[in-house]
Amino acid sequence: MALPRATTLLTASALSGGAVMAIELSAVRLLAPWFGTSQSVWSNVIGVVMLGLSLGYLLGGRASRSSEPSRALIFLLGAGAVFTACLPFAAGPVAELFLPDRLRLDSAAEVFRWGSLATSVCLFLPASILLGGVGPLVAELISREGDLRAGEAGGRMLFASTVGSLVGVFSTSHWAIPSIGIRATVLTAASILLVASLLVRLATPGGGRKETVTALLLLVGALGAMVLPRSMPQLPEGFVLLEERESPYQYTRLVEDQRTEPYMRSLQVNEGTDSYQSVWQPELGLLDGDYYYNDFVLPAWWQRKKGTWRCLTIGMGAGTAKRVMAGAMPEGLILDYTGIELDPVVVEMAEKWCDLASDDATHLLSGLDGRAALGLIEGRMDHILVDAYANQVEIPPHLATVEFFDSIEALLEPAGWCQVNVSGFSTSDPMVAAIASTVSAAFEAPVLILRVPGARNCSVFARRDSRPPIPTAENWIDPTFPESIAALLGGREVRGQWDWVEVSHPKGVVLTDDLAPVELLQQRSLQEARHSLLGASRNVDA
Amino acid sequence: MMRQMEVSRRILLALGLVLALATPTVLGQDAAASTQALEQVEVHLAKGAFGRAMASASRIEPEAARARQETLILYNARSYDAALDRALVAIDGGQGDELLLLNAVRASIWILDTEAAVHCQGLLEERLEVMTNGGAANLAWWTDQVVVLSDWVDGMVEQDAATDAVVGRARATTFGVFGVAVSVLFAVGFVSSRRS
Repeated sequence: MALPRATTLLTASALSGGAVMAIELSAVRLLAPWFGTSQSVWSNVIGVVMLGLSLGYLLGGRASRSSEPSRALIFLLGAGAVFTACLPFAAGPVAELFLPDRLRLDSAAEVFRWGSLATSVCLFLPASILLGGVGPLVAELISREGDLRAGEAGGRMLFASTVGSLVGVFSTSHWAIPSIGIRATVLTAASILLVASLLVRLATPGGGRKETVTALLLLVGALGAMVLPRSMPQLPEGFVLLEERESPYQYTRLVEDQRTEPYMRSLQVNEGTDSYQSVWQPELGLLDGDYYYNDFVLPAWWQRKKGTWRCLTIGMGAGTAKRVMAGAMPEGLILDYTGIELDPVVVEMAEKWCDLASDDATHLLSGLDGRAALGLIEGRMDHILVDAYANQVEIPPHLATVEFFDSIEALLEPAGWCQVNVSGFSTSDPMVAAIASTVSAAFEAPVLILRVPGARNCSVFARRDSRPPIPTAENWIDPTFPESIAALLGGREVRGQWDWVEVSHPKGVVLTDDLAPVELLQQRSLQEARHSLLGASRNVDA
Repeated sequence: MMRQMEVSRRILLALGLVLALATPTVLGQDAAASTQALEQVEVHLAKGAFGRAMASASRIEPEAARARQETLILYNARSYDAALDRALVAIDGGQGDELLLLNAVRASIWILDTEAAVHCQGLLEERLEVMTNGGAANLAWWTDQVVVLSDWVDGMVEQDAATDAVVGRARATTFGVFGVAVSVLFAVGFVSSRRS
């Protein structure tokens, strides 16, 4: 049976275009468990795929000179399918070649940048080169078939390929990855390439049966591989995986640390390092250890209010803030909690594993962007917590601007509190200074920065029409506070553990919706952390 | 973050607190005011009133003793980078004694500053070699401390080396594969131009 040749060739071109987009969009998510999905990882993956395609165009153009370009086309599609099918299983072993056993946060940026580039080159370059060769070969075959001029043949090929890419983009992002996961998406792309190869084979007169059988066997293999497990980062000894899921935004897993009792659970996203996004312990209240979440209880104690404490968290994660606050409120103050979380999968996992549940005093807004959801909040809040992160250390730029904090201030009760968790190495860290200055500009009020001892976080506090307490003040640790709260405040009054930002003296750049160079600040933060202290001391001496 | 290390470092902190209470803090301070200030520092430290301890420490003389106490207070207040910063200023001024160096090494371990840790550990080991005061028991105690810290510092150096090696491997792979790809590009271009 011979299929209509021109139509088949254009169909193969469309299928190949769609598969390339599926591979490209899945590629970042394939690497995410090891390297995250930061801008540099995206750039590396896209750059490598583009390099591969450009080389492929050249090689395809060269192959189109042969007397039987259709054989080269069948080979490229089939080989591209084989390389693609290997990706979910090769990603882990290759990525781990470029990751040290233990990784420090201040080294992470460089390791992720170079590691993701090297892994992308090893994984995605071969398939990209092979699939890049498809276009020129299809154009050549159409040209020969219909006796068309090069421009017309190229135009038809590009039309089909681009339409295929368009379908590939939407179906991958909106359906495949959230519905069937990364492994099945990539294997589906491989299967599509095999189908394309088979179609070209069937449309080519005079071919043997061997190639057809081979392609069919590979197709069965690719479909069968969907039941195999995808390679994922290993957990350290003593940790147990409770659940892992792919969401529209990230790879998410919940792990339990069973090395010491009580067992702690942590929600990890993307990078397979030992960092976490949320933690859970069996009891409500302050966490045992150096966790920034414990600082979330401070405004309720400072305010000395009775009745209801309305708290809104932007970036709720698995609800750690709620559990910490619920168990450590002052007597006579009842927590009324509203949490906003962008990723609905995180909330579903928290409901299953971390005792997060809606009730009369707990309101969960799942699947909503923190800034957009502010419009849904009714009434005023006593306390708004901003703890929104993407890729572990990246504050989303639109949640870091003067305009955003203006909206926060408008939602607060008079003397109400805004508190921001900022990942930073010191109170003078560029990111911390920028957030503090931005909050100060929005509130037109002074801002307190408190370093979290033993952690790489700072808490930034501001109040509507009022001032936060000063750590050097005589009553910094109120004698009526319980020991646990006094212990939280103890030691925060010494140099290096706090700072104060006045509106008239911003210590960092003020971020706006128009200009919020958050990634740049975070890079500076990591660079300064690496070269601080001794290096700085030597520079001064020089 | 780095939870495994955090647990172990908590043990280190506990060691530091024990040391703060067990180690003789003044070696030959004569001035009464300074002695009184030193006593106040100890009282405030025991209560966890670190801000007051720092205020009292500012009255201690000479500079070396003041630096030692301020470093100790900042370390116990868990302001590790400030403790290290204070210690480095004293070291640069030639004021670093064993206790200051010990806390400087510990602070740099907490904040994972390998360069500072190696620098201060080296100075501490040099001091240990010429240490004569306090008798055999004192020397044995210091030797134990230096050995423990040395293991930590060596671990940090190894970890840094492993990270550098991984980055080097990633760079070599990237440039290697890019090099091969570009070579193929030129080769194909060359062959094509020869045939056309």
